[in-house]
Amino acid sequence: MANPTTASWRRWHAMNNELRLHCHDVKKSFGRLDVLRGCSFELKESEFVGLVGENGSGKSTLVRCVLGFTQPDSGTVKIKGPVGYCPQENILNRRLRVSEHLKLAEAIYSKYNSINHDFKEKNIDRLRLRPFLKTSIGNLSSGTYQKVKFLTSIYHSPKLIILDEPYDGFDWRMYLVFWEIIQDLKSQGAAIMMISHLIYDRERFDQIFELKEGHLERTK
Amino acid sequence: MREQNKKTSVFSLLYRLTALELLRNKLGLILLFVIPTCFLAVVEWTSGKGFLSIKLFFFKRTEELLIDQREISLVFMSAAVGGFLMSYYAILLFQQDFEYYRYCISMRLSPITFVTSRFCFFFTLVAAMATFITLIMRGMMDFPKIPAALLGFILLGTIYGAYGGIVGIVSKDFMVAILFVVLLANIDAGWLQNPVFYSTSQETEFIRWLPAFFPCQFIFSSVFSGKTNLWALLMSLAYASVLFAALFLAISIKIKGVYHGNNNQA
Repeated sequence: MANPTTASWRRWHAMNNELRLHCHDVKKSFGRLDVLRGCSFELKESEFVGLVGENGSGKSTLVRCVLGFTQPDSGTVKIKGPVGYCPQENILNRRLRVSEHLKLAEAIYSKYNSINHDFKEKNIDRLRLRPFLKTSIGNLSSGTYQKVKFLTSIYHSPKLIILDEPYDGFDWRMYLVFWEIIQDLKSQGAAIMMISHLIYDRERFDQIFELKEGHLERTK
Repeated sequence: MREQNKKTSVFSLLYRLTALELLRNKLGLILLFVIPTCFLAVVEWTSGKGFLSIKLFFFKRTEELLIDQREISLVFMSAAVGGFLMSYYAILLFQQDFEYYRYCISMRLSPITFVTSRFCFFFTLVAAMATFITLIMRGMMDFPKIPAALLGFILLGTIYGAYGGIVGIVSKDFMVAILFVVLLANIDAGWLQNPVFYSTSQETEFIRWLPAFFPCQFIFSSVFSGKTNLWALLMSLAYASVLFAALFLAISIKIKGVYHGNNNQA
């Protein structure tokens, strides 16, 4: 992966005011299996992009390459501004309480950007997480666990949000609240990329990319 | 100044959360009391009253001493228990929930802050464990060089803790990691470093290069002969440094990718 120098980085910034994510020709293989065969896409301010594909098509691998969890074999990824990431995996520390996890997230995020406390508190209430703040993460139901993961990814009002099947386990009401929050973030200028399998979400996306045999195809 | 305060707060928060993680591990807490109690109770119950001849290895010379069987077993078992417990806690520190902290690094937690806080807690734990075991031992027998024995247990804890940490980082499965720890701790600290065994062993060359040998010799020399075994101390420090550096390397490799991902952010 390219490691941009300060000068080229500044140039890229200056030239791409609205661009939040630039991903060019990303390739990744696991042994003989070519999962990503050169994926390129861009995400601009207030843009909402869906990433679809069959199980095992490499959607999560692409997201992990973008975020650096997985090192791509080749290609360039450039990200502008703070990122929020809601992973598919149950990655949270089960031995911490929700409040402790959020406190750590806040401490980390506040080093790089200011936290909007009203927005944060509002989302805790919207997601109905306040009664669970003192609960151990290991004791949460799957839906509430998912809400904590989602809240973590938007806690700092990031400019780029990557969501990997974020509403898995949400009840119908919470599913609607989720879309309200997404609309709010979008109106604040956040670029959002979401992996989704639900066909009835199609209309909500500005663009949809399908990952097929290692290549990205724009289907909307 | 403000930036400095923020750095301190993330560090202290991580340190505090690490302590809470361990305290909430009920099995870990139970083992902390059950293992020393069981092992030392068995020593009390089964040890004979006779004296046994044991060897202490100094640089280029060997000293032979006649020591009470109960005292030999007490010190040897304390070392074995200390080594095993520390490697067990190191697995908890460096294996369980490590993915969570990789995720935090992807959220731009400074890897330096994370590694420093983990290592600071690791050394606090080593020191606490060594003090705990030295105090138990002191309560059950008399020996002159308490600070030297404490230092020996700290070195043993660092060596076995670093080993446990490396195993935890490398292995994804907790049970596999435990198996590796039990395997080495059993063969090395729990068997071959028994003064009664190695003193009459035909092949001491192999035993001398196992990780628990030098710290055990330092502890035995301090407790049984009242002498400071400088050679054992220096070699223990060398082992501790090498294993600790290996642990640091293993952690760095594990978080490297996520950190490089952060470098692409502006």
